Amino acid sequence: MEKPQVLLLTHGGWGMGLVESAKMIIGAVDFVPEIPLTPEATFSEYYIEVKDFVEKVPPNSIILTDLFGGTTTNVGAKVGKEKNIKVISGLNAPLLIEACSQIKFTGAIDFNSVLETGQQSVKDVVGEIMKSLEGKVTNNG
Amino acid sequence: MANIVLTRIDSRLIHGQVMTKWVNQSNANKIVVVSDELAKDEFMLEIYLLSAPAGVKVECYSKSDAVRNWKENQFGNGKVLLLLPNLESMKVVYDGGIKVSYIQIGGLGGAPNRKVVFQNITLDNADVNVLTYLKDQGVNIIFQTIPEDIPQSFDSIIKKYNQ
Repeated sequence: MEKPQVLLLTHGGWGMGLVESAKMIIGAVDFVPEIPLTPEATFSEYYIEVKDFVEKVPPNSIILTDLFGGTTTNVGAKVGKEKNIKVISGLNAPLLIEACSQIKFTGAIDFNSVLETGQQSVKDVVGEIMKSLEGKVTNNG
Repeated sequence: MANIVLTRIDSRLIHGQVMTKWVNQSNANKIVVVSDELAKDEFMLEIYLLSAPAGVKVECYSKSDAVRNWKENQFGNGKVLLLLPNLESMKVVYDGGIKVSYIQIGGLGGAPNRKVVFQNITLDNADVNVLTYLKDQGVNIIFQTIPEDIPQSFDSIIKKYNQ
């Protein structure tokens, strides 16, 4: 079966920078294309570009967009519904790395676990550590 | 009656710049979108409704419904950010009775026959005719994509268009 792709839709194309950095952790990836939203593109122009691209991706590919409420996500929503492809907004490193790792190791994407990884990846770092430490003190005492 | 705190022409309608910048800047608590296309598209409308910041209501009307709603109750109450995708729609609702005194041109998309005048704003002859018409009616027109931009005046933009 053909490897699914992870299509990134970002404002100005910052997703490719993220992919370059993610390679430090996951190694080479050749299944993460990006369609940057340029400042001058209209909704319709961007929509056509994304739709034409999605028509050629393997089944079970997914779209990751940067900003809910932004044109990247609005276009992703329309294409996702029409072409029956899942879309996750809020692109970040853990989300991208999880999706890429799954494809690398299993050749497929488990959508729900990718979504969950992304959702759980934003943390109040010092707050969580302090809370965890307090829990230990209570348990020990 | 509602108070229209900002009227913006933006072919992307509700998107990142509007949500993160102009809603706060204008202190609006209601976005009224005028778009025949969107008013008919239940799915796309829903994503706009879902992406509105907390405490901000979104309503969408066709051009004719917007004019009717304005005549009946001036969009109800609240501080309204009035959002239209193009100047043709602006002229229709203005002539229909929504006599705004200030219009911000925030983004007008590119097509091969259109000329770039400022950042992501392009114009064609039909647009310039509407802008001139509105200016002659006494409307203050400025061109500005995000609050950090220096607003460009009608005169300077038309000069660029004619260059």
